[in-house]
Amino acid sequence: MAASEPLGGKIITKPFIFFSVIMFITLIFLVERYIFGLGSMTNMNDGFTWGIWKPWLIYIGTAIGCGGYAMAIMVYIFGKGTKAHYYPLLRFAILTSLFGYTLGGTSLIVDLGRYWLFYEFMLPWNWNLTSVLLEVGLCMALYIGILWLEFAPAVLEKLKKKKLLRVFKKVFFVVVAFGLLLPTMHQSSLGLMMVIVGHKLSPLWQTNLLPLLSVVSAVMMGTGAVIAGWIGTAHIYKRPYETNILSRVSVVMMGLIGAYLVLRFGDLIWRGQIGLIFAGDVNSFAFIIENILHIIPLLILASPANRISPQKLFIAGTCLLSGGTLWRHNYLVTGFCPAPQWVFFPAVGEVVIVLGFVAFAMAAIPVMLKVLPVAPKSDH
Amino acid sequence: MECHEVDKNGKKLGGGVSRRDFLKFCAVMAASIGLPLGAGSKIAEAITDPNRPPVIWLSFSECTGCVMSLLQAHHPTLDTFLLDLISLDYTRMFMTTAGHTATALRDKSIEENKGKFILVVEGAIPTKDNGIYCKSGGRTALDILKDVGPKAAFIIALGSCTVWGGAAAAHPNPTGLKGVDKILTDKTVINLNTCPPSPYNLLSTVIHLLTFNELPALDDKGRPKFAYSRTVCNNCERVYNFRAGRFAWQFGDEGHKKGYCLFALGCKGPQTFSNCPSILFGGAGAETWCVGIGHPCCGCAEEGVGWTLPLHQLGDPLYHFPPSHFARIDEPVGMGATAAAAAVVAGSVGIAVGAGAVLAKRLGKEEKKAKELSEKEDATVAKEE
Amino acid sequence: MGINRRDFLKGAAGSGLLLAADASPALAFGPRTPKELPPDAVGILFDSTLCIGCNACVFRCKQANPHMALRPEFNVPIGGLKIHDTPIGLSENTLTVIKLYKHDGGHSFIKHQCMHCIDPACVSACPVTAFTKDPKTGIVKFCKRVCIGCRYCQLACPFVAIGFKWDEPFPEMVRCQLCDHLIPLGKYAACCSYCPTGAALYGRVADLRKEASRRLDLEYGEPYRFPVNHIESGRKSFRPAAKYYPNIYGDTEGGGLQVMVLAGVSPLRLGLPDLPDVSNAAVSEGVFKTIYKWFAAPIVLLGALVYLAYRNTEEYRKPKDEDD
Repeated sequence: MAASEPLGGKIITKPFIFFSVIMFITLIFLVERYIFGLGSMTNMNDGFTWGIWKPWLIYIGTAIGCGGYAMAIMVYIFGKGTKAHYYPLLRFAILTSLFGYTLGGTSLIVDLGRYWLFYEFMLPWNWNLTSVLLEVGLCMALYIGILWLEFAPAVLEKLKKKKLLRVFKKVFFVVVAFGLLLPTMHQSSLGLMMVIVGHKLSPLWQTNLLPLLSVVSAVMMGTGAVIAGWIGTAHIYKRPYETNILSRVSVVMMGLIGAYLVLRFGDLIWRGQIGLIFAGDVNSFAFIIENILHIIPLLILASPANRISPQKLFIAGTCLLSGGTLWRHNYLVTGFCPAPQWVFFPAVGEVVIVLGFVAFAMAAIPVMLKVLPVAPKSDH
Repeated sequence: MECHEVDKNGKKLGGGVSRRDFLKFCAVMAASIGLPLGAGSKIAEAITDPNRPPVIWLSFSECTGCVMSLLQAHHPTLDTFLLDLISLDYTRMFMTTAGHTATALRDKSIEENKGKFILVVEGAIPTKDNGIYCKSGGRTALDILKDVGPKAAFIIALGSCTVWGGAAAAHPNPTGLKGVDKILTDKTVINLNTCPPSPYNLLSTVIHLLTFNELPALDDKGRPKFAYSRTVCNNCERVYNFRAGRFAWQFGDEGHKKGYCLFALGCKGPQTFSNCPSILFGGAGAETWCVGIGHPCCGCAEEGVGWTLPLHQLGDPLYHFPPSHFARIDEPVGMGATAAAAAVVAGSVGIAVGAGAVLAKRLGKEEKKAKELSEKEDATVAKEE
Repeated sequence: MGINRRDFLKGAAGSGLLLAADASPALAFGPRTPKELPPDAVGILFDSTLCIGCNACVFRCKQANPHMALRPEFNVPIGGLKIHDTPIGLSENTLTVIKLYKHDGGHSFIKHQCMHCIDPACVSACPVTAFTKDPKTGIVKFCKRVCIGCRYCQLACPFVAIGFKWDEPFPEMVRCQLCDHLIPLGKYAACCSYCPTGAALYGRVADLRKEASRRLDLEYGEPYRFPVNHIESGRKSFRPAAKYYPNIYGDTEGGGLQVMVLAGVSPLRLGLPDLPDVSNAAVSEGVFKTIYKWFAAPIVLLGALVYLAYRNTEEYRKPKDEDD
């Protein structure tokens, strides 16, 4: 396997300070939330009961965090004989997952109305076995643990615990297997969670295929995050772009995007709702943008020359990432209408809290990259 | 203007009114008909005019309840009303003369004041068998009304019987009783509903006619709007109990004792248009009207309700315009976008897109540079070769 | 570097496999079997043509359930009765509300409340079993003790009939429980016990369904003795029948509701959602339970993944020089 190394460099940089300021503002709103309740600083209401926190921090955050899952699929399932090509980016991918999921999990402490009873969720005698959310919650909690285990080698290398590392490597495949199973389960369940809302979700998005689409889209978004994230990181820290790896990944991506689009439109046609695209309302507009963002990377990646260009790969990855983000945002916020009279637009506090979580990731990921052996070793 | 004898202190003598009391009365009257304050003096002028038009009071199939209710009035009292305020030329009840003398006086007055007098009708008119079921001086009620009616300037139908038959015309109505406006179809009849009618509604109407010599504003059923434009519920003192769902369910139960709404006992207040709760009944004192003393309104002021619907059948609220205090089906709930929130969202999305675009541009430049560099290298290599 | 045909096909095949492995059952399996109405289930029949908008139900509901005034200072009882307020919709303070529907020809009132679905989405959705459906009365109950405040129940509820105390630091969910706390006292739903016209009628759902279809059979204007308060109370209101829209909302909608609506116009115009006959819970659980039946699919997938991961990490497991 290709070895990894810390990037090194100053930890307190200008962006770090910028993101820290955002986090500080977030803290002020958090204090308000805990003293005066959710209603004081959000616009959530009984209709739009999830506001934008669960859609963005859980749905979108963990889907971006599916980079580790996506790369693990490439490496461990389809990677026989080619694993060397994928390995260097695996740790970077797992790092993004780590943040996506851990922050998503943490956000529940903010989002849950009765957060002090969080433990009730873990007590088996409370479990409601028909609840999709139960599956998602338990599975995600487990996966956060698995991610930390998957990331453990980097930490162990840093701490120079050679013996432990060697033992760990022996059983690593079990961790890997769980790391592949759990996201498949909860990412599909995240999609399935919206099936129960029925008519409240626009037919453009409401389908029994939501779980399947959700997994496919999570893999695409995770890969998009790894591609765009790595090219950005490499550009900033002057590392090799690893385009040979990324181009291999992007080939798989093309297949997935194709499959996703076929499923998406096939499903719409099969349910006879394709006409809604031309309705000319907000939903149809959102739908068109969302799918354009899926088609652009397909067009870009179709040319082999583009697949080795960092710029084109970056654009494709970003589009894929935003397309998946928009799809999730659409089926949770835009296309969701509890009843015509309900109005919702996020309040400042709501948005700031989401930004705070993003800022935390943006501040902490570079630090991790600088300190821990995550980035692939430079040949130069 | 001297309308009654007064002593030097201005105190009224006998049963009369002082000048001050009288003017006060005129002002109150003006207010009750809904006229501006200055109209009081105009009223005073009209009702002291010695040439004011006389009132002819005809009684047909009736129970004298209307007149009895007039006796209850105390501002003014009946005697003031009859002796001072109106010029009552004929009424069967209060005239000292009787028989042919009275009838002759009536006919004389009618002839003299043709087209000028005010006709007050009390009681329904039997129409079956040519109206033989009610006769006066050998003439049927139908005949008298058809004779006198067209000669009157204004016709007031006093009481529910007179308006549409009321209690007298309740099913099966064997004598074919009808209201005045069914018989005098080509004249406008002022209908003063309720059984018995409020003396003040009559008084106000008469004074309005005397003062302005024209009809008060009437609704589509011929009732003066100042008295009959609102339902009983509108001004009922128990209506807040209705809005709060506090009902008396049985006579004598807790709710009934506490003065809750009587709707559940069959109060027809919601569908009966009358000013009963505002002016109360007959001036007999506070809260002395049907609902005030704990009996559901029976709808005596409304054709098709009183003596038609069962007494304890639930009323049917007629909202001509649904009340505005109800939440609409599509009452908006929740907060829309505020400028600050929109700015924060737009700003964050803008920064993200901008950062992506800048990075993509720089990557492009870098690529171009690398390409040029490699081309140059290739060129140098080629040159060296 | 170039991508050859083989790599591409491999990628495509890989993605296909991934699709097939995951959620193909979602396509193949329909909803789970619908739930049956318990024979002694109780419910409400709301007849919009009888409702006069007196708001007695709203007021009495607030009185029967603790702390339901719109503003906390209104919770102070005055003369034994709490001050009445004018709610604009269902919320944490209002478990039932009368709303007005106006159209050209007139208007209708509609009572919005928890419809106590026979197959409730909230019960299916709640991860901690805070929502339960009483096996005897069919009332959907809420147990505050275990609720973690995830609000998935609100999301799942087709009628948006569950409230959340947004403005409290230690909030809770609030919902209509058909006054099940009054049943041991020999009473029944406060909204029905104080409805003067019988627009909100309490009773066994089976009886109410019969009553509703009897009303649909009535001719326009035909006099009828409408039961008031409780279908077995014996109290009747005698009046002519209105013109009914020929549908009992809640007979089949959403898998059946224990709170049914009769109206003079289509119930869909009264702010009630157009629900399919299969409940959302059944659809969702149909997919969910197919994927996770006996937990077999995840275990089989895990086995395959362990094998693949073992095979593909052979190199990784070997101790290497660089590790030492």
